[in-house]
Amino acid sequence: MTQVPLSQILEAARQLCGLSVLELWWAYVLLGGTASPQDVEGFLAGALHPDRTQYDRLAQALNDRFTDRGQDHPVPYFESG
Amino acid sequence: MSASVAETTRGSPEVTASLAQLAELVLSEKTVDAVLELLVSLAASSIPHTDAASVSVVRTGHFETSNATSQEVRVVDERQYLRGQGPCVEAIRSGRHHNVVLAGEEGRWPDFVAAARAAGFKATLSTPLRAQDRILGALNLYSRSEEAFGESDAEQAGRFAQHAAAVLANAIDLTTAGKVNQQLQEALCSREVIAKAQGILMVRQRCTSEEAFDLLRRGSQRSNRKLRDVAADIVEREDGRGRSA
Repeated sequence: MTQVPLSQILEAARQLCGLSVLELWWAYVLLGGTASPQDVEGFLAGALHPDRTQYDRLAQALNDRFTDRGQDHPVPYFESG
Repeated sequence: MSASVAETTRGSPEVTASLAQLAELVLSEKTVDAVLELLVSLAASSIPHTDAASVSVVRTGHFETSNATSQEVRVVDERQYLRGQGPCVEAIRSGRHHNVVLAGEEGRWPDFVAAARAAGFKATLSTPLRAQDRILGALNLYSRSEEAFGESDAEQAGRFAQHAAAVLANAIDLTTAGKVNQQLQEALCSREVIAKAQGILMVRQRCTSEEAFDLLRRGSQRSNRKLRDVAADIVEREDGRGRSA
């Protein structure tokens, strides 16, 4: 992946698509995510580091939101780095 | 609730009957709006000297009339919210009832008095709807009589408001619980569809669960569709195959 930390990518995308942390967490849960809202907040702040499974579900939740807005998948997945 | 109703409304059969009706509603009807609708109707019909009634509620920091016995009452209430002045607004803010004869109040609340008079009202009684430490709104009674609401009217309104606030608080809790339940159902359904699609892909591709998720997200990326929709298609196609086999 790029040199940009994963947390920054997720947080920038979250702000760009206008989801609250809780909304993002819920979308992630719908995709099978299992971390708590506090953990997701930690991922976004860079205090915690998501593994590949958690990261890809968060990225997918954000990309689904972008898809709703007529945009393609701008958030990179774990393996693409 | 029935014991406390009997206790607090002794000697007032009209209000007792009204509150019993209200208590029954809790068992059969779970929407806030239905509770409030009945509340204003019962208040207007069972509390003496009352010609009209409304319920003001506080929602996301704003006042609004959720239910009223007539349109003219809504107009009078609205005038209070607009100016942030009037007995109903004061009752909610202070948590104390405001029993007011309009004559003599022109200086304090000129807009409200003008609007109320235009609608033919001459006295008003606003009682806060208090549930524990929360003020949920106010029960507003309007009268066309020159006389103020009496002490016993105010007491009845207070008792009525006390029970009505409890019903309202329960109704709000039930509505919240209903929404949470709906969201949980949505989550279960979504996760089940995705898990099924992963299972189908694991069998077909002889891969792990995470590799199956990767296939789904690649499908989502390729078609620029939401992952859940891609998963639903896979499950639907598999179900179709099962039916035709």
